[in-house]
Amino acid sequence: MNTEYVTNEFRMSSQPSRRRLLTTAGVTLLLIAVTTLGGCERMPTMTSGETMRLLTAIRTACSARSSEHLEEVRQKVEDARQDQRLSDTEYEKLIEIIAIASAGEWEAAEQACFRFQKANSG
Amino acid sequence: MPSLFLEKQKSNLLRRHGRRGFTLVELLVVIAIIGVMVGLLLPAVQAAREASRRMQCSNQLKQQILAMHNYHDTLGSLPSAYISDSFHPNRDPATFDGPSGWGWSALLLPYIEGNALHDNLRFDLPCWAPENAAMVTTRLPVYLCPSATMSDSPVIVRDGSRAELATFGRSTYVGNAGHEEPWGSAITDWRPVPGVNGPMIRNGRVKLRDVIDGLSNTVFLGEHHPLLSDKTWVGIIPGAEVCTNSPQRFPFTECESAATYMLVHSGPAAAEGFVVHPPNAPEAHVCQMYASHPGGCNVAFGDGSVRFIGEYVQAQVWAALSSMNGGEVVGEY
Repeated sequence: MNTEYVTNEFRMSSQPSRRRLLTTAGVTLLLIAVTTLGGCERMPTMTSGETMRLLTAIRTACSARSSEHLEEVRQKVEDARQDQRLSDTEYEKLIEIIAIASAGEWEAAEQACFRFQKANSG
Repeated sequence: MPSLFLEKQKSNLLRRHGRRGFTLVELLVVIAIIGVMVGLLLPAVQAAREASRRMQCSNQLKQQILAMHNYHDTLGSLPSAYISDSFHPNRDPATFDGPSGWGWSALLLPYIEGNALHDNLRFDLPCWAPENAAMVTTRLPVYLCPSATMSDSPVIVRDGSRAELATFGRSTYVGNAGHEEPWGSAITDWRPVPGVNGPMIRNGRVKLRDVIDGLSNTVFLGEHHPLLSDKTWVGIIPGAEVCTNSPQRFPFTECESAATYMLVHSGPAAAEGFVVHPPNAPEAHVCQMYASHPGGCNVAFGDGSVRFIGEYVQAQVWAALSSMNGGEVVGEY
């Protein structure tokens, strides 16, 4: 009788603590997942070497801080798009990087080029 | 009486064993703790090992650049990137590369304690001559960075149709030809070509006084990992071609002509659309510097210093460092 009482009491007290433990573990895992995956930037997959070459050209233009050179590369991107040598996602990403550079954020654009290239290379 | 004693002993033993044994949970906790500790320690150990390998690479580059200075002191000029009789009847019509093909690292042998090998090589014959075949496969540790995996095997030199031409000893170091890549053109002399402004060019014999940008601002040598492509200490064979060793990893890498067995350039170059490719550039040209060290590549400058250049180096800065007479103001790197 006495033993049963103790066991029941234990069960009653352990139920909320177990739930709390599970909730804490769940929240922790979620936080880890969010913070880890939050740092991952999803990059488009390159379908040809054209994108790689254009990115190197953008990187060079950014490094030279040359709006003229950047404009030339933008034209090359448009041409490649018209000739269907770039996919939609590749084209959008390239234009996004060119826009960053055009806004005067040369270094940020150069780094974005590098990240995009690195994500599609060894 | 004895059986009673034995029984007592047995029960004592059992009790003792029962007290001292680990439960499954305890065992699992211990294993988990050991696992976590190994997991924390292993990357640190690997990083320390890589740091020591990187240091050995930089030391090897140091030996090579000092050997270049000794060569210059003795012979009055830097070694040519490679020796080529570009008017030879058997020259490669596409590049005008001809015999003898011996490269800068073979010419440096007497200055890096490679006298014995140097004396056994027939420099009066092409480097691919059968008389040299046994010696040119020699493995020279001074030209092999320990960080570069795959560096134990010799290089099989192939032509454009991937047919074998010769087997040469491997190197993981390359010379800097400057901005332009003249090796794809049918010209006898590279020097008048605009952008051919590096210290290491075909038949170059550049003097230190020609390096007017300053020896501390001009890259002479650097690393190249066999993962990207093969390089050799021996020289070049006219008509040979360098392709990537990892087409799956570098799917957009194009093959280049024979000179890139010894040489790289930085860009901007006309044939590449005037882009610059710094060390470890992800576009992965076989004619660029490329190392497996995390974050960059060791590079030897004309003043004898060896510095680590990060892969994030600005393209313009890298181009400025690659030319010996461009007059550029070199920014921070």
